[in-house]
Amino acid sequence: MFIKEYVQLLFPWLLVVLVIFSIGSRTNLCHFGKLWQKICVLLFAAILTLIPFTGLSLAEYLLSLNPNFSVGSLALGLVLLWPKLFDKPLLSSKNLYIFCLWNVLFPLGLFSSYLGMIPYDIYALGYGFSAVFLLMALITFIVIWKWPPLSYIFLAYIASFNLRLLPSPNFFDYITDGFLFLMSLGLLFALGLPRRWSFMPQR
Amino acid sequence: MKKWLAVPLVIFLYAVPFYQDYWSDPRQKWPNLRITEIAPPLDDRREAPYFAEHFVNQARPGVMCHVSSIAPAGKDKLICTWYAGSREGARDVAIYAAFFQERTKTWTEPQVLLDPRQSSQELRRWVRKVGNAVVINDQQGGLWLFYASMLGGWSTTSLNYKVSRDEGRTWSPSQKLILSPFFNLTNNVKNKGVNLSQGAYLLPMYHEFLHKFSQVLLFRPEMANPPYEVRRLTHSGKAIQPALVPQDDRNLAAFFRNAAGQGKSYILQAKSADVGQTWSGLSDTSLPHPDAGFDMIRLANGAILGAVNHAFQDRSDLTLVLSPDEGKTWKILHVLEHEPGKEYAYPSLTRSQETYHLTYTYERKRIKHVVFNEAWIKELINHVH
Repeated sequence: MFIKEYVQLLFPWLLVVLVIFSIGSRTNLCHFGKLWQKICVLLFAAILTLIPFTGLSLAEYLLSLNPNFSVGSLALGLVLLWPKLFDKPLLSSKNLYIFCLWNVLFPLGLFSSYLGMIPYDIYALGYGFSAVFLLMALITFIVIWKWPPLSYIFLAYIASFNLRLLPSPNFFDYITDGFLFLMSLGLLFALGLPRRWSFMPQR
Repeated sequence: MKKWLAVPLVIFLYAVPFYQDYWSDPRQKWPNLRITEIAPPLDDRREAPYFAEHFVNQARPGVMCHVSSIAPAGKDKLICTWYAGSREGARDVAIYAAFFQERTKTWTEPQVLLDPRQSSQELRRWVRKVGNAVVINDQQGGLWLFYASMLGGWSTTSLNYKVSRDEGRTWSPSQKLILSPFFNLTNNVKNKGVNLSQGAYLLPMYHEFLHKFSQVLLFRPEMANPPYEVRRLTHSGKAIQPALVPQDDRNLAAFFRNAAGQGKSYILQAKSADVGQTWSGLSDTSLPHPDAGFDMIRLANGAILGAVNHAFQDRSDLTLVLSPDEGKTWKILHVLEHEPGKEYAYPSLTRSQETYHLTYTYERKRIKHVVFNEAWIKELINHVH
């Protein structure tokens, strides 16, 4: 329970760090270029995320809206934050596009099944070893072959499920969540990645 | 990453859940579980028919109460929970509890078991409202309270639980259940569960976000962080608030509130032959239904006893009905309430050592408690015949 409690707080913290960097760069109020400035942002974000106000912390309010931030969310948060911290991308825009596409298409089937829009319960297959696990293993092999940088994320799904790092007992909750779906959809459309990725630098 | 290294790593990582599911303690697997409590044992003693009525709480001006749940809480004691506040779904709604002493036949003064503030503090999450609560027994003397918490309306409910190891005197802090991949929406409870082997139990639930359907939660309370899993109970219709009735150690019947709300509707029924893992399609029973909650229980003689609103239009009557043939036919046994314009709803049935207990919402002002024994039911059956 101890580890789960702390792992849950990681994504809210990443999100707040990301928001602070974005506000800084978009408003031109300050640029966090130096290492000490970046460390200060990380610490300030931790305080802002974890210190309770009106009884709950910002992380706990975010977890009230989305009680399970998946490993996919954590990965996307890290991918978006990495260039701001280390001045180089963790994933190429092409790989980011593929990852966002996966984060939109996979939950579309899962959510529509769970919410009763298709008469088959896919979510139930995530509680224990099933054909879906074999399919995910196959997808992981394909990812390793075709998009190697994304393979770390796909390996992290199953590794964190085996270690039960999140509160949900369902494998699908390690792969995706509602917030990740909306965030990835926003990235696909708002950032215009489909148009950009062909001429953006490849990693 | 080197591809030659990745291949055995993937195989190893996916072999872990495979090993956990197929080699480590197969008794824990859902298909290997058995229903342990089917019907109470037949009592050959010649008892006098017994029937009594009580009120669990007193009416208070401007306070409505609703959705009671009753369960044994140790020897000669029962616990009843319900929610009360200014109106359904209001922020001042709290979950109350009171205890019934079978020897003295009296109810204790109701106490607030949980309000949104306490729930928020225990869960470390923002909780604006609390709603339906169900209290059930496990097989080790533990009492489990499953309750709904909300940020907005009923479609934003998620489920939480508390456990008491001392017959309801003290309760553990609330724990949240993650039951849905989409913002954990929407799961709610109404009726009691069914005990299984290995200390596990089934809890009927329902979902009402975009579509209305029923689910069943398999909960294994013996472990420190109790593992759980959810299965869909219905795939069509608008069947919610299931009442589970065990038939034997593998077969279950489920009866559903029909929330279609169009014209004359009937209580729906489905069956499972594998301890609730998979379910048949829905069929109508012959019980008329005004889209309201109800409960059912199996009697010692094998018949199913139901407490239902036996009408198409409203909840102005509450009736005990009996099916001797697994829900194929039903007979009216006794009309408990009938007052046009009033509401008698959301019954909850349980059995203590010798008697059956029924609680229900009485005109939205109080929770009424009815006690009867098997001899009283036998007398009614003879009278009906």
